[in-house]
Amino acid sequence: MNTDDLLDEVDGPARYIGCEHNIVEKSPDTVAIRFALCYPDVYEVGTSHVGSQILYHILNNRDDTYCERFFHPWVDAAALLRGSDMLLGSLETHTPLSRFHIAGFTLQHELNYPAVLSMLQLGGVRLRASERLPHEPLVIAGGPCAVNPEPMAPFFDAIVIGDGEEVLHEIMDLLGQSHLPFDAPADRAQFLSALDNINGVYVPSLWPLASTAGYLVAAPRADGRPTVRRRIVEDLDAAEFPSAPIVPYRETVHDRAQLEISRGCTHGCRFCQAGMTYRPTRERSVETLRQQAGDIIASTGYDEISLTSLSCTDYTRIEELMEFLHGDLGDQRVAVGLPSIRVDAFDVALAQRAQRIKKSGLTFAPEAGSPQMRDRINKNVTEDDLTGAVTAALEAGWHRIKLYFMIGLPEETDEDVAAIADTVKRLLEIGRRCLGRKSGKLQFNLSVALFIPKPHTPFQWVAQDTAAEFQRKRALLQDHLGSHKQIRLRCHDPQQAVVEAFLSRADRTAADVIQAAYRAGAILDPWNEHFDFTRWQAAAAQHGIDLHQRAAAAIPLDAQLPWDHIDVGVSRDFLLEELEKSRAGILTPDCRLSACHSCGLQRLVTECPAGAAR
Amino acid sequence: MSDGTHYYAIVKYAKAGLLRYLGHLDIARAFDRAVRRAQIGVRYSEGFSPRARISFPPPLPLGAEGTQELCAIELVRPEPAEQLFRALAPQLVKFAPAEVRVKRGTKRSPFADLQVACYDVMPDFGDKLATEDVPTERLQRAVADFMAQQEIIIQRNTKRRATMINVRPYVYRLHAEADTLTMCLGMTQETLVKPEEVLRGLAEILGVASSGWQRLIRTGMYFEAPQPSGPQQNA
Repeated sequence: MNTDDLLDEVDGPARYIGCEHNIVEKSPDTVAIRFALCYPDVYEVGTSHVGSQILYHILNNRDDTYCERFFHPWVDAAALLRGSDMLLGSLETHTPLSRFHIAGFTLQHELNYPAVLSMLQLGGVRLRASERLPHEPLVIAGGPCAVNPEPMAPFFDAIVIGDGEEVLHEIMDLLGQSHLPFDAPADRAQFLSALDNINGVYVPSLWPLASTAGYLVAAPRADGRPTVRRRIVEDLDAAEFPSAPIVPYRETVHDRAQLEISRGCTHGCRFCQAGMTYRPTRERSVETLRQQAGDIIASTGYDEISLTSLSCTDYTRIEELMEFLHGDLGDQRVAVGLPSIRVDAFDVALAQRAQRIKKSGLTFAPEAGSPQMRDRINKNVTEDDLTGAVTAALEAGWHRIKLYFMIGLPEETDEDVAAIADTVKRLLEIGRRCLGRKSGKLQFNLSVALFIPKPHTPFQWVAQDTAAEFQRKRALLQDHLGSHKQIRLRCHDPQQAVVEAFLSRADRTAADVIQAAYRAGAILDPWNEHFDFTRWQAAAAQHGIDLHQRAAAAIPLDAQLPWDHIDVGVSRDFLLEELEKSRAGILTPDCRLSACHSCGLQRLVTECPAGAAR
Repeated sequence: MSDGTHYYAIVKYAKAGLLRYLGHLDIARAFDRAVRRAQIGVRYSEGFSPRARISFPPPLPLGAEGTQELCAIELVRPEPAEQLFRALAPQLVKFAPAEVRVKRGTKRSPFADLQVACYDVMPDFGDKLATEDVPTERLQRAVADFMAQQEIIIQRNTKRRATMINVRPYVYRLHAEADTLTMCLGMTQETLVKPEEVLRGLAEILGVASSGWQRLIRTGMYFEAPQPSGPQQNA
């Protein structure tokens, strides 16, 4: 079988052809380093990832490097590849993964872990770093899940913690000084020791482990180095950003231009990993963003640009930015979108400015239904904020509103769950009043996530609800909601949540479980239709682990944690304090608007913007 | 235009190589974005969600190539073709645009008048009769047989029902040379014949069950209307 035969057989062959507008074409013979940028999910998902677009751009701006893209094939193509003598190839030159000098994976979601193994195998690369021959690609990783690198550590030669823009150049410079591919094991080992000296790079093989209280944790290193510190790009305004991103042919999950306006968020929601691990909040300037937006639209032809950040409306000069973007791009019929809006910052004029071209839905994330629960999770918005925002939106002409809630939060009572239903029903009443005879058009889409305890958050120690409890609460919520044509409820899969909780907080032994689940057929597990809980359950059982028990276990507050040697900035003391405040229902205000809470970040940045703002 | 006249930039391009795996919507999206990048004066539809008015002839099946494909971009006002080509060509590099012509029309769809599409087809009549096992003469005899008929009845399935239709009058030309069939087929609403339907007719004559293709290339589309084609003694 050859590539053409394969493409004739599979669903959606356009995923595999490359050839997109703005693809980078270089002659591989003219570069010293070939970099395989790997996204462990299918093309439509991976192509939408703005971080990968940034890295593709940064790497290809280097004269010594050609960066090519890899995605996981859809199940049909993966099965055909496995049954053939072909290897997974890049979109740019169809070169097999095994022929690259370095492969970099992004870890966006725990359920993508098996797809990393699958891509390595489809690409002809040995799964475990310890098994790889000297000439094989160095396999590295980064991304939000890397803040607990342990479950995937054995599969990577090195893992980058934090922002990639600067550290990647340091890695590539080091690689550029090496003779590639490596000839002998000693050359590879020597390179890894050199990598270990780069700030923000974790080389798992150089960290000894010790077993304590049932967990494998980092043991003291001979050189006394206590932690790997997260890399932080302090001047986001100066950081590289692609002015000509790749324009896919196939429709992708975010089929529009994306403009990263800020990074980090200091609202301090206690369940939110990104809110803890991307601190501090850094903004690009309005001037830079105007320039970038204009360049991106000119080079792509997109008719929509979405402002991305953890919380768009927090951007200091958001109104000014929107006004400028509208003025610059409105004539070209480009819509400017705000992905989700904090209810306490909702401004009708602002949203209308965004939607002048296309009136899409609005999204709010109250997260919890009861004020008590919102206080416990530090979601500092009030009932009035929410009803006010929704009323304003309905009066301004929106009919479709998406609401994000979460169930299973620590110490949640049935009343808290019922309060979600009450809140939504109250909003429905407001909607009916506002829209009168047109209330048939009203649509509230409820997306209910299940709480997953994540490393480096104040809730990292707490137990997750069992799958059975999630199901009971979901039924309770459905019950309280009743049946309304205008309310649509979508809830995450409890079994996926259990696996995600296990992988999030796992130690290095989980690598064996991931590999066993992969061997049993787990590949594209974020896709509900390809997720099979029994594979994970069996894989965990083989290694003496009960998934349900692991997810539903609270971790003792004094336990050493498998991710303790990764210093993301927020300190253990701060997290403990936040957990205590959560239990007492005490809010911690955003440090950009109040005092510094000494979260620990001051140690990692030369100047903490929160401190500076005071 | 208020007087009912429309101006179109007709782009001739190729859907070749790996681009043959693009679906019709993928191509439509790519042209929409290319037109926006080129910043030419394209007309937009009215209404709630205005779209650039860009139209295409009947799409090719997935996997099929086209060497002389067409796309019509409706213009706000007539512009010199060379100027349009200069603006569009750099934005459509992957589609190797050959030329832009400016066409005036009064109809809603600039391609409603297209009469004939010609194809080069490498048929695949199954394992038993893999192409190398079907001597060209046997294929040529089947072609002659096909063209000598008054009727070639094919079942055509629409979403609602299956109808039996006679495709023979709108097979204007059918010729076999080595492993390739050349065919010119009707393409208006009334005369549309698909290459697959011709292959099914040939498969029946050859007495084989399978009638796929290994390679399908649309080589041109024409506005001139030929006469319906009657039985031919010497195909």
